[in-house]
Amino acid sequence: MPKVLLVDDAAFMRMRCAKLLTENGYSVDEAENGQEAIEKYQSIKPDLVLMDITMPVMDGLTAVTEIKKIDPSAKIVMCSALGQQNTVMTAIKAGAKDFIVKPYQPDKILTTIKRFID
Amino acid sequence: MGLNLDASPEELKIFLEEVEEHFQTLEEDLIRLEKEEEFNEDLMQEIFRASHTLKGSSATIGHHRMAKLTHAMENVLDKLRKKQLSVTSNLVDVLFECLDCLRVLRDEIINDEESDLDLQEILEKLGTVKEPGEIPAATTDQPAAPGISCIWAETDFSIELTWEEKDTLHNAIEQRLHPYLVRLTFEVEPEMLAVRAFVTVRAFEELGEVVKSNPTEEEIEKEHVTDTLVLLLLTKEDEARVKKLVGELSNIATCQIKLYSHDTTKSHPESGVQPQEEAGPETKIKPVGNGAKPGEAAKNGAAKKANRTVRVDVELLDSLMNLVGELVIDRTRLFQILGNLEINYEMDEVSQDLGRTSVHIARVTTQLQEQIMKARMLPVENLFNKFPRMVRDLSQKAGKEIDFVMTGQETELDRSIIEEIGDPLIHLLRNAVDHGIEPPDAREAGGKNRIGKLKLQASHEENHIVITINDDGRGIDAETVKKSGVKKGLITEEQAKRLTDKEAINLIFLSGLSTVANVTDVSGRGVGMDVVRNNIEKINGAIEINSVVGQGTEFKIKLPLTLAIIRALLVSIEKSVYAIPLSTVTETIRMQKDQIEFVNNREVIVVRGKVLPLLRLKRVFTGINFTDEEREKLFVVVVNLAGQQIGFVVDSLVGEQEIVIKSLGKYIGDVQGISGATILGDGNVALIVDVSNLIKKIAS
Amino acid sequence: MAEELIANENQYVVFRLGREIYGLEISSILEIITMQTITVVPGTEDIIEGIINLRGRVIPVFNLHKKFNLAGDEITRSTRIVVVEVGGNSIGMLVDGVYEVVKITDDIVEKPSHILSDIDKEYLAGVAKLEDKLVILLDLSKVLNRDDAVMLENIG
Repeated sequence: MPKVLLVDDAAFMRMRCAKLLTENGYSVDEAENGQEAIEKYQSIKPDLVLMDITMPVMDGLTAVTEIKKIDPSAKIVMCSALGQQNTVMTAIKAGAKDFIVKPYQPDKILTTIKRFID
Repeated sequence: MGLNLDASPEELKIFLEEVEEHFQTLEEDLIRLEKEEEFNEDLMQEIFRASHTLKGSSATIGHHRMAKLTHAMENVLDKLRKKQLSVTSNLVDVLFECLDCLRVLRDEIINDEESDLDLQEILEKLGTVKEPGEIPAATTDQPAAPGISCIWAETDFSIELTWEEKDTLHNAIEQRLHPYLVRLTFEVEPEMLAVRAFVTVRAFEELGEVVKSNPTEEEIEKEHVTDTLVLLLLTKEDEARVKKLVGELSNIATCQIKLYSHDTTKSHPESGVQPQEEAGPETKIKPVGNGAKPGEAAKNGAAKKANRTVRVDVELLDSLMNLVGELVIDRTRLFQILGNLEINYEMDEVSQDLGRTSVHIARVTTQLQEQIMKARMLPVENLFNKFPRMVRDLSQKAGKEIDFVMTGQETELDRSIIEEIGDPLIHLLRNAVDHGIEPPDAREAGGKNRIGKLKLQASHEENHIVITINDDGRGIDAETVKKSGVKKGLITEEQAKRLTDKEAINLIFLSGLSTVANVTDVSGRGVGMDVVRNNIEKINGAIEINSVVGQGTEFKIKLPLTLAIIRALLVSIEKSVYAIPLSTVTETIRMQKDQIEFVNNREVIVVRGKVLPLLRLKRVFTGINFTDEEREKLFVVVVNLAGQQIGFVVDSLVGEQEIVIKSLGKYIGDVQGISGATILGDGNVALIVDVSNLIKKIAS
Repeated sequence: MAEELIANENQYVVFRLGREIYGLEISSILEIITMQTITVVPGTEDIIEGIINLRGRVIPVFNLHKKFNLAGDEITRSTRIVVVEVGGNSIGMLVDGVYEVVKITDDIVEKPSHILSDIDKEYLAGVAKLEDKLVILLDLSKVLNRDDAVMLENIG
């Protein structure tokens, strides 16, 4: 079962997303912020990270940079809202693979993830 | 029986909205398609996309009949765009018929009930368009996996390479790498366009080397992007793998892939790097690819719109308008109270304070009124859109050749007026086609272009909307109209002689005359003009004709911006106040009693050399005869409708004011000479004078 | 027993029209207002007194005197407009004075056929015999029949 690490500070968003992913055959772990994401990345070694940008403690962009330092092959997809395109661009340059724009559309999430996990 | 569609009510709403847009696109484009003499690639693509999207979305929600029909349409359209078929009037007819069927199928969704429409016939018609023994249409546009959501488009494209790059390419080909030229268009939120393009280039780099892209990676980073990305990929993978990647990528609307060859640049130098396209990014920003996965596109669109708009029930708008109407009444009232107060307590601080507050409330009320009126406005486009098709069908049936032009579709009108004005416009257009514009041969014989011109224009003029319908047909002959009028006993020989041409032409608005068939044929105008006029006047509009024999006819319709609130002249008759819509008033005259003359036992006055018939409103409304010895001075309100002028004699003028139109209610019903009531500033009710009704009365 | 009584009891607004006392079921009455300026609508039948402004709405006012062919319809200080709702429309009725609200039980109501009144019995729902007076109960739906609205002659 492919493992996805879901990083978002909003519990509601994690819940929605986790439900979708579990239903579609992924095992899901969650983290509330960038710091927690780094810790979980090391312990879980997920196949993919879905990374929110704006979060307390440590933001998504910093987390991408840190995770890439630990594992250059890490596959990270940014979860962006409209208006965060500059941050997303920086994150892509820092090694993130793709991005999804909120509000999430289930099939978009699934197709995007599928490309990296297959 | 319900349709059992796989969509939530919310999704269906969005679906239906989208469907309507595509219908509109198809409707407009099919007409253009028939008109355009040369093959228009963009137009063809747009038609194809609309049909394709309809197919996709209807399949997604599980409307199988709609999916089936659009699929069959798409097969035909695909051949059209590949020039395997040519555009004929017959083919366009079939496509229009498809559109009609699609509307029925759309209504099935609205009613949640299957109609008895039988698709067999139309499917057969579509089938016969197909040449026999032909290879079935390419299926590349049918995504194999659910993730693949783009259309494989077909426009010519290329990319310009430097000598060094060509060198690289040459070497690569020797190493058995494939050079693929890929053109993608994106459908994505404009602000995410650059990032999307960036991610896409990166994704292609996973398959090999992106030798060049347009825009370049640097340009993309600087957000110098359009929705089109062309790139040259060197890869050891085959085309299927590249296509698979495209299928997995997000936000791709259309995609084209071809093997790069030197010919590409040489044979189409003009399409080179598409410098024109770069020069005009704004034209490219608009989503080329409505063809992207329809469900998603719809959701995207909705999400984008949702930030700025909310849906409001029409009833809510109506009730808001009523509430504002009451505020308007109170505003007037407030100033009356203030006026009284100031007489007694002019310098009192409280009354001055009240004065300031009143002024402010008045201003806010006015703004509120304007805003709510605006919220009720719709562009006439919604109404006009169906006309090209109608004119086309009518002129085909009548064997006429007509160039139909519309302008000012963006002009906005109150939605209730749009509802009311549809039928009169249809009537006038139909008349213009049937009777106004001559058959091609007759036109040619008369030294005119075989193709008749029919123009429909809407524009904003001061506080009115003006809609004109213009044809260059045979025009209306005043003499013929006069003769028929006399023959039908509508006017006397004597009267006919006195009529000016304009007055004579206006006779076609009389009910007795316009239903006469032979007049229709001779004068070139059809039945029911009285109905047209009544409908327009019912909404406080006015219609005017100008016609020159042999040159054409123009109908000019003047409409108020809104139905609920109008400006009115308040007059007093026997101590009661009556309101006369200001749109009908041309002037008010104060005159001496002895200026009244009699013609045919009717009271008239002469105003600037013209004879103006008078109507004593007092007699009309109260039955009191006008012995009136006490009054030496009279007030005459001159009103004008459809070229007819009369003077209303009233006791005195009260003033000009905005009034809110209220119906008399069904218990009172229709009252001749009165079109409604309104509430005045003092709280009393005033009656609104039905000008058109009274003018007709005096005319008959 | 008590229940039965309550079940058959209705509240009526009692008012005067000419020389007689009438009653209307309270549930059909929206409000009772003092005399207003009534705007006469030309060309309507006599029984329509005109229209008034009821808080921003225009409603018609009926003259019951004329409807029932009763004598004397002078406007006095006690004249009131009883506003009722019929078929979703508000309609005013001129009455010569409103007295009170009384509870009337079915058992004191007699069928209209047994009594005499100045007005056509088809408009009556019955007559209630109170201790000190007779109250004629009106059948509102018949009084304000839609036919009344149809017969309006237009001005000639």
